[in-house]
Amino acid sequence: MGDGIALRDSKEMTLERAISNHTTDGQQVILGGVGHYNRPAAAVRELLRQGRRDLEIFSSPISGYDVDLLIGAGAVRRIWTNMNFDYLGMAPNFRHRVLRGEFEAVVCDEATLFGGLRATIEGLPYHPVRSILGSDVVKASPIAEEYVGPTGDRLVAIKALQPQVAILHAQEGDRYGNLRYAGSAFLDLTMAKASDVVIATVDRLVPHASFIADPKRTDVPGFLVTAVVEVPFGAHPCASQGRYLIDERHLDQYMTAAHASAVEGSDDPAFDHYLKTFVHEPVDHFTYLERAAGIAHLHALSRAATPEVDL
Amino acid sequence: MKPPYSPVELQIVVLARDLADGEVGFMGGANSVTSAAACLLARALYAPNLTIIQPSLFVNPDPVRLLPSIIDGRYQYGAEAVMTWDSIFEMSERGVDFMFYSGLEVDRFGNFNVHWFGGTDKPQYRGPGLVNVSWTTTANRYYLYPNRHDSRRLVEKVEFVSGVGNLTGGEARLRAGINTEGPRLCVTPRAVFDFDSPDRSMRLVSIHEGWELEDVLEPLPFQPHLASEVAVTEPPTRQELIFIRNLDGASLLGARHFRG
Repeated sequence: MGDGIALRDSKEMTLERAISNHTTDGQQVILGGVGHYNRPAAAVRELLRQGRRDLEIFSSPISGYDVDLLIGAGAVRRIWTNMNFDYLGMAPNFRHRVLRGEFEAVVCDEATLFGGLRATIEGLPYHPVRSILGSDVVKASPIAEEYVGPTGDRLVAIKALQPQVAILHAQEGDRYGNLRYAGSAFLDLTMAKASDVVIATVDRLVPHASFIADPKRTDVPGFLVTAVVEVPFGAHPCASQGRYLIDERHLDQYMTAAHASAVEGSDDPAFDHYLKTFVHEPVDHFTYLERAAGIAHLHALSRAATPEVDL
Repeated sequence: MKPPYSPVELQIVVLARDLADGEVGFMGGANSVTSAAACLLARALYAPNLTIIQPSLFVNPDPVRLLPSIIDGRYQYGAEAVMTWDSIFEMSERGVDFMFYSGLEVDRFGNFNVHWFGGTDKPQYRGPGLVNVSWTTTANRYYLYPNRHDSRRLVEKVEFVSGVGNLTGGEARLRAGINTEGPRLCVTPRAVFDFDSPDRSMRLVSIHEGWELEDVLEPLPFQPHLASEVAVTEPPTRQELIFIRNLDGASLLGARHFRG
């Protein structure tokens, strides 16, 4: 019962604080975006800077750079996603290290990942799907089980997946955690609904008034978000749809280093050097950006993200 | 004599011509420059009421040119709606009209593997997975377009069924509780196969210009059925080629891993 005006709490914080307050070793973490699009890459590097390990990583059915980086740094025990670098090639750390059993890669598809999240959102122990009937994914997935439903239909039960932390990247947010996407929001709203804690990085923090002015354009409402961090180019070297393209130059550099160190029998320190240069040494995100890309290159990636300009 | 178009251009045209006006389908998953081009070609030249859904869930994109990644945000250009990935989940249960897969390993029944190679105990290779193999069961039909015509891409039996084709053949697909058509065509860089055979395995229907029957059969580790008259694949028209080449301003279709 106040003696004055009650002020709403801001959820804005630094990346360092968001990760240190809301993540611990051994957690189940789900990463937003898809492939190399809208990935919370800066937040993932911060997880590594803070030495998080033994993580169980969930994501959309395609992941690339950020999950591969976690694998290469030895920070994951299990992943629930598929791995590739899209048109650039195979995911180098995943490809070599999974065969040596350095971590477990659960066989996944949309139906198992999304069905598992949807079960959690609906407060159900499992969600029924039909679409993977007949596929070996049913046999290989630890959360899928075929059954005959009350209507006599053959279905697959996908057991609930409930990640402890979701880490998302949006183009815009406000201090109360409302998020807005310039392109696709992918599965970020579902991930936010299914997770206990949600950390969001945004390329730009905008005034709350901007969300009030157009509430139908809010993709993730702030009440689902625990912490919001302004991290310009926070998806780099991945793309932020509508803001900047993927940085092929940096991803090539990453792939070369990771491949050199990950192949069987290699003692090449290239990947350790990568981690040192781009994860551990930079004192902050802007220092990382200067090292990894530079202002001119970032400008080029932003400028080209708008089709009218590039095409 | 080498025909005046590339194998991938012919793959695009064959796929595009099979799409019907008014249908709703998906542009493809990973490595789908080919299927993206097929959808855009079909809509531009013969199926104006086609609805094309891009994997970011941009509805009816109208890109000025093809982009290297199918998920590229620039595909939003010209789109009339942006949905979220929840809709992928929903549509992949309810179904769409068509979907495309390149398939790392495709077998004669149209099953394909993108997950697991060399046995599940000691795998030699873990594949890239793929965006939505669910549509192999719920889309009305799907198309296969392996980018090579060799015994690594085309096999007798896949090691792991990621995408569900006609399974072990005959009525096996129905018996598994799946009542959609499944694989419609497998369009390789050398030939076109359908699955209209008694056991629902691949049937050679046409051979691309420049290849002979033995070029098609010799690399295969299985003997496909042969259509009563194996035709020459109808080549692209001038108009189709102009459209494809205008769309492919960055030469994505020629630059990469496409070959006979």
